Amino acid sequence: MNMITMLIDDDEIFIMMSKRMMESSQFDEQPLAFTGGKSALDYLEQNYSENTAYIMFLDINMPQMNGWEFLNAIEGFADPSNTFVFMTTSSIDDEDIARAGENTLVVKFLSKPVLSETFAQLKEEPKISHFFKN
Amino acid sequence: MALKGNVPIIALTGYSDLNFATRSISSGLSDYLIKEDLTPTILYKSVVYNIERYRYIKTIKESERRYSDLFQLSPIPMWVYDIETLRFLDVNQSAIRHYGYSKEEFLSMTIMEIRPEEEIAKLEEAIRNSKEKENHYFEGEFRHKNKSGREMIVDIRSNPINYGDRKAEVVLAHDITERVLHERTIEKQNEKLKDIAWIQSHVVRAPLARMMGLIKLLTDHAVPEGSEEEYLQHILNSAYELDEIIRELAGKTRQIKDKSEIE
Repeated sequence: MNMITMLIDDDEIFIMMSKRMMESSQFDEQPLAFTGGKSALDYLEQNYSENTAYIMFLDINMPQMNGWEFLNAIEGFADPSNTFVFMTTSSIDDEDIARAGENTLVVKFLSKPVLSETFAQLKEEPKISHFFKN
Repeated sequence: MALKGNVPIIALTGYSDLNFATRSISSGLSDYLIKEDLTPTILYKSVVYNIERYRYIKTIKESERRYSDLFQLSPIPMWVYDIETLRFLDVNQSAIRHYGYSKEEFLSMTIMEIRPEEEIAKLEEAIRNSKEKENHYFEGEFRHKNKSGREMIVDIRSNPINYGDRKAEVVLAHDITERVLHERTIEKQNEKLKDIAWIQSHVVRAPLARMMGLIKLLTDHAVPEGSEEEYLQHILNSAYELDEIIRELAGKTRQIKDKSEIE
């Protein structure tokens, strides 16, 4: 099963940073970047395949379609067996953390900045670790 | 003849004075006995009976006075109004002080006259409702105005009461203007505080998190060769952004502080 990493964040500096961090931790050399929930949703609606694993780093606070709205939109077709969402946010809001725990697609809640060390640790995360063992 | 004092009086009368004796009862006479029928037993019974009756009447009068004092001396404005004519039937001293009208003025007015015009419809509805229901206890907030035109917010409690032969309502009108204004100020401040709390948890950390990430990349030498300048510029921009947010927060905090100092 091939794996696609999606970075969804309206803050382009975060996207740039996260790409570097993923690179240096050898998490993924070529993640797909989206600057809004809508463009990421469009991509998934056209390309979603049960034979691909999707690892998403999803920002919560975005204009137009925010992280929660994006999750609601993909819940209809995305399956927890091949869709692994990491919620990322720079805010400290207990409500967001509690909400992230309730969603079956959400694996973990990550506080920004997500550093190389964190990406390295995520490679050991039980739900996705098998994608990094070859 | 005015009969007063602390003793019951029993009159002895003949048949010829019967009319006079009957009339005298209403002016304070306790009882009368007809001389021609007088026997020791009748006299004894009348004396004992009238002493007891007098004591009983005294108790009732005291209780009446207590209730009247409760009404008259209540620190909260009270009045009784006729539910048909809406006229004031009685007002207490606190109402006179608080609304600025004399008792005579009050008694020549209807309850419409202590309301600003825009409150009349609301009052009419409240009266309609209380007429429909028997023994209806009512409470609610209304706007009243006193003689000088000053408006106030009052908490009204009212209950039906029979006043003589009139159907009336007894009303307690507690002026809560200051309390309400104070609450409004606090509510506004709370809104601002919520606003600040939201900015604290959602906005402040964004540029900070960005700076933390960028600096980490630079110290780990994980940036492409020659792009250090660009990364430093991003850090600087984030620092400016953070500065602006903190200034905005300080402005909002100052507004709250200024407000509470005026209060």
